[in-house]
Amino acid sequence: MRDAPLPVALAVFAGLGLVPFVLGDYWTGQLARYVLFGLFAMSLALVWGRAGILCFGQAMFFGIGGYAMATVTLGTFAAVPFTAALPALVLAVAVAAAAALLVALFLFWGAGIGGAYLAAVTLALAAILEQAVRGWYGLGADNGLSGVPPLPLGDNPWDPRPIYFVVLAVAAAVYFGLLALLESRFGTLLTALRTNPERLAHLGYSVVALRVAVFTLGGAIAGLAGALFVATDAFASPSLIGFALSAEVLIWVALGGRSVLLAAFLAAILIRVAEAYLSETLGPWWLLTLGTLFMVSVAAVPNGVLATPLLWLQGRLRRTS
Amino acid sequence: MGAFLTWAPLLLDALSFVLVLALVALGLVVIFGLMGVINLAHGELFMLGAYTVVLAVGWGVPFWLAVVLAPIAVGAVGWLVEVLLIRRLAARPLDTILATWGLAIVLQQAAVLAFGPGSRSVARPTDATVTFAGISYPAYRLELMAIAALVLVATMALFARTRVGLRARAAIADPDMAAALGVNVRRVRAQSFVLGAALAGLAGALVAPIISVDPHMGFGFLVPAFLSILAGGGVSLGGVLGGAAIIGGADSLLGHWMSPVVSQIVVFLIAIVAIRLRAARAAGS
Amino acid sequence: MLEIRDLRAGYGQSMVLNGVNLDIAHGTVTALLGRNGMGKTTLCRVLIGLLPMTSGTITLDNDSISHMAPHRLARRGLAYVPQGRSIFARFTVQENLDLGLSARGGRIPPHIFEWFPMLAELRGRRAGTLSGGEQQMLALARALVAEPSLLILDEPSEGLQPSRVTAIGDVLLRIVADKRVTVFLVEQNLALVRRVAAITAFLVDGVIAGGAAGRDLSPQSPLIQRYLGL
Repeated sequence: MRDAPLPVALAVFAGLGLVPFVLGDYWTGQLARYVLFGLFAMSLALVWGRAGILCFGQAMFFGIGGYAMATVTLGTFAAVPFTAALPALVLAVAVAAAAALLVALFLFWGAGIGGAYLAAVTLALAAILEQAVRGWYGLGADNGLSGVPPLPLGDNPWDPRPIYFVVLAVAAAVYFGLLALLESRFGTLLTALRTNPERLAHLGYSVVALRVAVFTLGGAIAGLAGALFVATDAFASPSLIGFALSAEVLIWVALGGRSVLLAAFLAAILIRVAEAYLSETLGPWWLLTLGTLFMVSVAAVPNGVLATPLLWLQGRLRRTS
Repeated sequence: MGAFLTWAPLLLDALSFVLVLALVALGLVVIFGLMGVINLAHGELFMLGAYTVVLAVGWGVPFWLAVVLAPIAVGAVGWLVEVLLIRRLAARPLDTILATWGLAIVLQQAAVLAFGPGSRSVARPTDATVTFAGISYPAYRLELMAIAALVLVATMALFARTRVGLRARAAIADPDMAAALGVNVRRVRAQSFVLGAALAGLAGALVAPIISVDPHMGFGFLVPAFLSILAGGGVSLGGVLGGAAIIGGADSLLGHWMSPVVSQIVVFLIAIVAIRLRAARAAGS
Repeated sequence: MLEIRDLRAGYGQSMVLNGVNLDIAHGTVTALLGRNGMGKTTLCRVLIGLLPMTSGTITLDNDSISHMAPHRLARRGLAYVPQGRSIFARFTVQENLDLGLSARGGRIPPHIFEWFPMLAELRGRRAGTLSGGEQQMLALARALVAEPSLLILDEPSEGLQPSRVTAIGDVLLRIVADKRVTVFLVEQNLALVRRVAAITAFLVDGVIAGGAAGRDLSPQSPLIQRYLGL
């Protein structure tokens, strides 16, 4: 299973790198957020598209990363002895990964669960977490935590350009890092995990360990995206952690293409841009359109609207080379 | 005696919630059991049932006739959905979760556009109360419980006792062999989707007078119904009642001891543990 | 009554049937012998409509039934007893028999209990609790309640004791004699085939490799040596 053709991926990241020179500060700042949603979408594409784990609560890890970042940099908990951004980021990723590890152990340990059961349990877990955060006054309850310090980049910390470039660099690094990982033996094992887990178990591999590993990795990436998002947005709210965002990311990934990381990444960005432009003018018609597109694409283009042409191009390029 | 007077109405409220939830969950389980389809648009079919009653009563249709019309109208919607969407996904059952989630968004937004985002209400057919052993309780809620219980029993009897139900069970157990014996498996599946949709529509119609009807009301019933069927074992009709009793009973009773937030969390935790245990046992056997 | 012409079918890229030609005459027992993996079960599944054919034609009483859905074929008079029987183990014997009526409705014809007297006493039992031989009889009876014109049997003797195989042979001879049901018997059990089949064909690597009158088959015949490797 390959991802998008490498030249396309390079062109996408290079093109995104040029955007701040074309757009004004406001849209650059918005686009930084969308790129982080794209990174978040990549984490689900890895877990769902590549490993076959249909997680209905991926926003749990995005939100945990975000809240960890917010509480550490704001000094909410006295037990954490530092407030600097970089160690906070590391801690946020670690906490999200640990949470994903716990959830993965609960889901996959022993015979494990899958399919509709896994979807239901992850959905319920996300709902629980959102309820807990909404009721937790230390975390600002329904109001969330505002005034989260920005990343310390240069003299004017609210200049969106350095933030944008850092965020884009992180997304590119994760993308190409995952690409390398998926080209390795781990990628082959993931494909086997998705298509034929019984065979994999027969050959002596631990299906549980593989599932736990990929789920934890996905949780860490989602946590990274969430932590950077909160630092960029200066705000951690319960809407980042619950069912609604989990369902939204599922729509982005399904529409873009679940098994192609670049397609999931791009779909998240494109849908958020479209939403920014269209949701005001279209009102309820926007969600109606998105829902219809989502439904039709699942039925008619199961590989995804963006991934299908990308995979076709990939196939052509390989045949000619 | 004092405790009895306080508790009896609460228990009756819980029971009526459990029965309505079981009706919604029964529709889900018919669809899940026969087609392997998790219908995430089920809550919206429930919502459409409630709106059918609101609209019909607004046009001067008598309430009980509107309650009969609702499952017919929602069943027709279900038939369209089966033909246009579900049938195309027969080979990819997990993708139906996504497609029906898209459908849920579409139906919700369509309801917002058609009926406005605000909530509507419909008058109860009767404001009478029934007094028994010192407790007075609204008559409509008792009627609702009786109808829900009757429909639950009738649906179960349909599957357990009739030839149509036998063919449906055969189509679940071994679709190839059922087809070779002359069962039109595709039609059985379409019928089951229509039946499931109609049950959701009926449940929505019955609760329309006692809750506020708005385009987003479905989700609040979908999640507990979904958890009920998985906690109750997935496909057995008896399990539906058990699951609904655990989830619905806990949901409506725990609220009296603890904050709604905590009670929601406890209910979800119970559901998760039940699903995890059940799935592990199913895989082990 | 049934004509199969140049039938090709398989699973995905791998073809199993490579041009089968076979005629089955009215009121006879036609047998098909072949070793495992030669395509016997695949042929049965294509005939009953559970596996789509790649090319070729099947006609039943001069009507093409090449791409008909299984439930329509059942209503046209085809009945199927698959390998491994596929009875509904959690249903009662009565419910299994009732399911046989799906093809035409009505009631269970009384002659079923003349052919299978022991099933009358077992009607209330769960089918999964029956013995292997009883389950095979139930599968046969379930196929016959719809009064089919063509009965397709895939290895009915598999896993049964010799005495039970003899009983199945008795029933087959009786139903052909009583009701002129045509039977297509796919088997590996030479003794059963010799006893009941008028005509026997051999399936080798997805094509019909030869045929013989059933009673001419002896274990020493060169056909048997060649095609079954006995």
